[in-house]
Amino acid sequence: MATLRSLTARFSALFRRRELHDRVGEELQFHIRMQTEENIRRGLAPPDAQAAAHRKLGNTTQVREEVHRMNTIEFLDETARNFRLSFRTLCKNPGFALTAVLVLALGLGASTAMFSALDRILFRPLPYPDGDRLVQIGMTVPDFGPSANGGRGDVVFTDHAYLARWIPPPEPFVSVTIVSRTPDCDITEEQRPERVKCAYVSDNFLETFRVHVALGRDFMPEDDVRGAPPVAIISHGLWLRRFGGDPDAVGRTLNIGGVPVPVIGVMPPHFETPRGDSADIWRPSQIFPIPPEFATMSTFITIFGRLKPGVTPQQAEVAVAPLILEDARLLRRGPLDDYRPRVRSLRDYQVGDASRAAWLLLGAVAGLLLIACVNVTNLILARLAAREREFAVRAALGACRWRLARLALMESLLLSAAAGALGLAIAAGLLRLFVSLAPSSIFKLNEASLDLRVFAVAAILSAIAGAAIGIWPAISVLRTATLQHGARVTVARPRLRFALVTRSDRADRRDAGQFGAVAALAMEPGQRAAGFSKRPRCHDERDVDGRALYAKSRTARIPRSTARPHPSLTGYRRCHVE
Amino acid sequence: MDKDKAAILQGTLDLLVLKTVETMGPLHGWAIAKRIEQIAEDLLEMKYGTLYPALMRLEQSGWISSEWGTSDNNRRARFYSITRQGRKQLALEAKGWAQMSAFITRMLGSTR
Repeated sequence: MATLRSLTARFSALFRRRELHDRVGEELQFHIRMQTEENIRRGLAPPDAQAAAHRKLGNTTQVREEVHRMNTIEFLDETARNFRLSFRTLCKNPGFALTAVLVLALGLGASTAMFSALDRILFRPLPYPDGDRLVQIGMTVPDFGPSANGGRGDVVFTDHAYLARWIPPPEPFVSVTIVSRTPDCDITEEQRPERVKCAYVSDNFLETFRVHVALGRDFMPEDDVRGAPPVAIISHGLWLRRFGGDPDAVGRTLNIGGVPVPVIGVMPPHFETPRGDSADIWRPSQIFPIPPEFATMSTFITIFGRLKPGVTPQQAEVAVAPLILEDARLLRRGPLDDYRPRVRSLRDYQVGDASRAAWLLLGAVAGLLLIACVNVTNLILARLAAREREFAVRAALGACRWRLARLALMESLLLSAAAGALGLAIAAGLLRLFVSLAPSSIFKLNEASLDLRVFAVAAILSAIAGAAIGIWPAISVLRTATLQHGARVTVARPRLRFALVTRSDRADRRDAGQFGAVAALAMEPGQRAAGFSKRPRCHDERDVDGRALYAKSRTARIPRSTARPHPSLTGYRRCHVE
Repeated sequence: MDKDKAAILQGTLDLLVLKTVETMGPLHGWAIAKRIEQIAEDLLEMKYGTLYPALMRLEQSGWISSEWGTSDNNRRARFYSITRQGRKQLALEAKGWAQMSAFITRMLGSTR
C-alpha cells in the first residue's frame, strides 16, 4: 500500500519537479536564515554566523540532487536523455543516419506493403462470425479440368442429389446451404434502369453465415419454394443508391427483369458473397421441389456448410466423402476413381493456391528485411568502432557499461523508428503500384490499403528491426566499454564485420530477381558511408588509457607557467569527442 | 565529525521526525531540526541537510502532510504535521525500535 502510494507520488512528482525543486530551495533558504539569526543571537559576527549556518546544513547541492532523484523515475529520465543525445549524434552524422534509415526503410516498406497486399489471403479473419468454421463442400472432377468453375476446380452437384443427401445437414455440420447461381440481372425501373448482380441462395444462407439483415427480415423457408411469390433482400449499397437510405424501403417493390419484386430486407454494409465479391440483390433460389420433368437435369450449385465446433475440414471430408461420391454417381456411370471429394475451409476456397505463393512472397520480403537489418547492423558496428574513444571517455566520466549499451540501443531504435515512418511512405507508394498492376489471381489485392491494422504491423516490424539492429552493437559496447582495455580494443572485430558483409552479399545473389537487385542497392552505399576501409577520423599512435585522461582533467589546476602537456596527450588533443 | 557524537543511524531519522511532529504539532523544517538537536543534546551529530529529503520522502509515503504557513518571525515556511497513517507507522516503528534496542542491550550485557 505504502509502496503503491509512494510510486504514484513519485509519478505525479515527475510533472511538478520544478515546483518541488523550488520548494526545497526555499526551505533551505529559510533554514539558513533562521540558523544565521540564531547564530547572531549567540554572538557570532554576521558573516561568520552565515558561514556556520551553511556548514551546519551540509552540502545543499547534494540535498537538491537527492530530492531530484526522489522525484524522478530514473529509467524515464535516462531514456529521455538518451533520446535527445542520440538525436543530436545522428544529426551530426547525416550521411550515416540517412544511409541506415534508407536501407531499413526499404526493407520495412517492402515488408509492410507486401503484408498489406497479402493480409486478406493469409491472416485477416473472414468477415463472418466464426468464419473459420465455414467450409465449401464439393469434389474435384477431372472431366472439367482444373479450370472448372472459374479456376477453383470446385463442384458440381445435381439439384435432386442436394435435396436427397444434404437436408437435414449430415454430421458434423451445423447447417448446409447453397448458392445456386449469381447472374447479372437488370433493374428495369423507368427511372435509372441499371445492370446489377443477383445471387440466388437457399433460405438458410444468412443463417449459415451468421449474418443478420440490417433492416427488414431474412428469407423464410416458404420463400424458397418453387413458385412462391418473389422476394428480394438488397445490398446496403443498392439501398443507399436507389432508396437514399430510406428505412421505408422495406416493403416497396423493385422491378427486376420486368417483374415487380417486393424488397423484404437490407443487407449489412460490406457484406460479401462466399466468393469474396459482392452482389446487389439476393433472392431465394426456389429450385425445390424439382418437377418430375427436370429430374434428370442438373444444375451447378455450390454448397457451403458450417462445421460443429472443434471439427476440422479434413475430418468433415472423411465423414461426408461417401455422400459426395454417391452424388457423383448421378453424374457419371463409370468408375469414380479420379473423383476426389473435398471439404475445404472457406479461406482455401476463396484464395486457392494463392496462399502458397503468398507465403513465398512474404518469405522473400522477410529475407530482404533481414538483409537490410544485417547491413545496418554492420554500419552501426563500423561506426561504433570509430566512436570507441567517445565511449571510452563516457566510461571514464562515470557512465556505467549498461548505460552506454542502452545509449547504443537507443540510437538503433531511433534509426528504426525513422525508418518505420519512411517505410510507411514507401509502402504506400509500393501498394499503389501493386494495386495498379493488380493481378486478378491475387485475391482482393485491389482492395489492399494502409489501414490501422497495417500501421500496427509496420510499428511492430520497425520495433523488431530496431531491436535486431541494436542488440548486437549494444552487446559489443557492453563487452568492451571499459577504459582499462584502452582504445586499442576494438568495439567489434573487423574480420567479423567483413565476414558478415560477404555472407549477406552471397544471400543477395541467392535471392531471386528483383529482391536481389534491391538488396544489392542497399548494400552498396552502406559500405561506403561507413568507411569500412578508412581509418577512424581521430587516431593516435599511442593508447589513450584511463590514467592519461584523468591526468588531463587534473592539469587544469597546475599553474600555467609549469604546465606542459604530457607527451601521451598530444595525440589525444587532436581528437574530437563527437 | 565529533568522535563522541553518534551519527544518525540509517533509517532512524524517519522515526525521529515522525515523533517530533507527533508531539509538537505542525512544525517547519528548522524547528524540527532544532527540536531533535535539543533533545539529543550532545549525543547526536546531525547534518541538517539530510532532514529535507527525509521530509519529502515521508510526505510521499503519506505519513506527514505539509502546507505553507507563516513562521513566528513572519516568514513564509513549510509546516509539516503528522497524518493518521503516520501515527500508525510511528507506533509500528517505535515498537520495532524498542525490540531492537532491547535485543542489542541484552546482547551486549551477556557475559558469555
